[in-house]
Amino acid sequence: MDITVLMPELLKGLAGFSWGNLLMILIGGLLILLAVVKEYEPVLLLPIGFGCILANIPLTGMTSENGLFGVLYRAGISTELFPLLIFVGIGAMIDFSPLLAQPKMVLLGAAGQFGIFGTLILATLLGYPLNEAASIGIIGAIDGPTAIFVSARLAPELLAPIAVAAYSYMSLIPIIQPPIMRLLTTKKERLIRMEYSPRPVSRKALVVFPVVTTLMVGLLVPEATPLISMLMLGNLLRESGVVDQLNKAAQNEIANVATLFLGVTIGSTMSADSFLNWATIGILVLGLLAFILDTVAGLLFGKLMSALSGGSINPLIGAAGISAFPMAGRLSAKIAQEEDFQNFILMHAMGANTAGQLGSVMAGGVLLALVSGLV
Amino acid sequence: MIIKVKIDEQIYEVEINDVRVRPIKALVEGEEFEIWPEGEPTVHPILPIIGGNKKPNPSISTEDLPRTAASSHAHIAKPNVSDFTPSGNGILQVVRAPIPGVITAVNTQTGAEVTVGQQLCVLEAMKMNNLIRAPRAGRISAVHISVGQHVKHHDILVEYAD
Repeated sequence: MDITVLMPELLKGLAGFSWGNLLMILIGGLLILLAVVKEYEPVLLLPIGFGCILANIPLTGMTSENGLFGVLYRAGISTELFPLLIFVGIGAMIDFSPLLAQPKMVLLGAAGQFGIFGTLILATLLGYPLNEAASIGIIGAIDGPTAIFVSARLAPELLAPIAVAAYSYMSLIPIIQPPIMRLLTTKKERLIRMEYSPRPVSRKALVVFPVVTTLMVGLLVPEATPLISMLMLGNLLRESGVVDQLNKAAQNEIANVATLFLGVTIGSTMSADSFLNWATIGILVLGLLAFILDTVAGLLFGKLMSALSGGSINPLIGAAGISAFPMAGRLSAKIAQEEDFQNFILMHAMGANTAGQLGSVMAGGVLLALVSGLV
Repeated sequence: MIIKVKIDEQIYEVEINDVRVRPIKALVEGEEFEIWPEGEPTVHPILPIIGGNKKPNPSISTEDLPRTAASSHAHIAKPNVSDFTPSGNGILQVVRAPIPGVITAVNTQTGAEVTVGQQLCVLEAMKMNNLIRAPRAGRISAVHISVGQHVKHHDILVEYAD
């Protein structure tokens, strides 16, 4: 056989390879590097990075309709199965008692969602259609599964950059938030001590809470029900105390397996032709803005609560009213301790943080309801 | 309850909420005082002065006192240990747990001299390592914690000697 006939056949993989593919493989490598070296959300960035590399090898067929990623995408992302399974795990990990002991923290959890709506408005003004603007705004939920849940429904074509923005910014919270926290609060405010008030939360309340919340949210915001109900199912497994093996499975096996397939499938959508465009850059910039707006709104609301309470609330806990749990709560506590090592606002910050987790899910549901009605 | 106390011809009104909780909180002319009775049995002599028409209840004993957060560790919760030195000059005598959690490291020992801000122990709460630091310089007379121990809010962690 003539070698000149064979060569193109042997090299067709290389022939289909573009500069864009090379760039995306480098980006995938960068994500893996961040995961391995910096340990930025490694559980997610590692599979996303690997999926990204795979998606940019030409002719593998993995992303085609019946390829591995095609099947996984239809099974887990289009149907929103993976984010919901992850939520069962998150629910089992969250201890709502700091919130139940201090119900007023719910207000901070609501304020921390301002970034979603602020960014939505801005993106609309910049010319993004409403469904895309809403999907970009949801990055401000600072909650990967919620962002994927909402954007998979409203603007699936933007899913990859939105997921990447949501998860990589989440891991950058310790870098993004502290400068804003220092800028917007005075030293005097950061020095406000908050005594831990051990208001006991009964086991009954902890068990009733997930059921009542599911019913209330379900009736008020039906679109948020899939997310909130799975979150609350996980929490019920945890708080009931009678299904410890299910609780552990939700926290570990179920959450981990779902996260692995979610990550690698999201990564597989990062092909050069769908990722390397101006929309992606716009999403990355606006997503960052959404994060910043959340923090600003939370802090300003914290300052308002601080003023109204006569200076007994440390406004730093306002920055914890976002979904990134438990990172944001720990961060508030850490900044307060930098000023005064005897000030332990951790429990208050965690109350705001769990409220933020609930708030972001509610906001995601509200957004779905509003935008589905308008588009 | 309100007790009238006469000191040098002047009558003070003292309002006490509950004599069984520690510290006893007394409100004198709008100012709140926290009182730690010296040695628990001396609590009871307070009762007779409550009023002539009420008999002191002799059945109240230390066992009836509400279990404070710390009292499950009997050796810690010596009721006569005040947060401050007896001299009354407001020097902090003990370091208490600011939040509930688990001790993951103890970095001081009995007899150690510590400086302000020196790490005394690590208290893990909400999966976060909280460093407990010395509020003042001094010598440690007792360490009430060990690694792996669960502490409740306000449990005594270490005591100062001076």
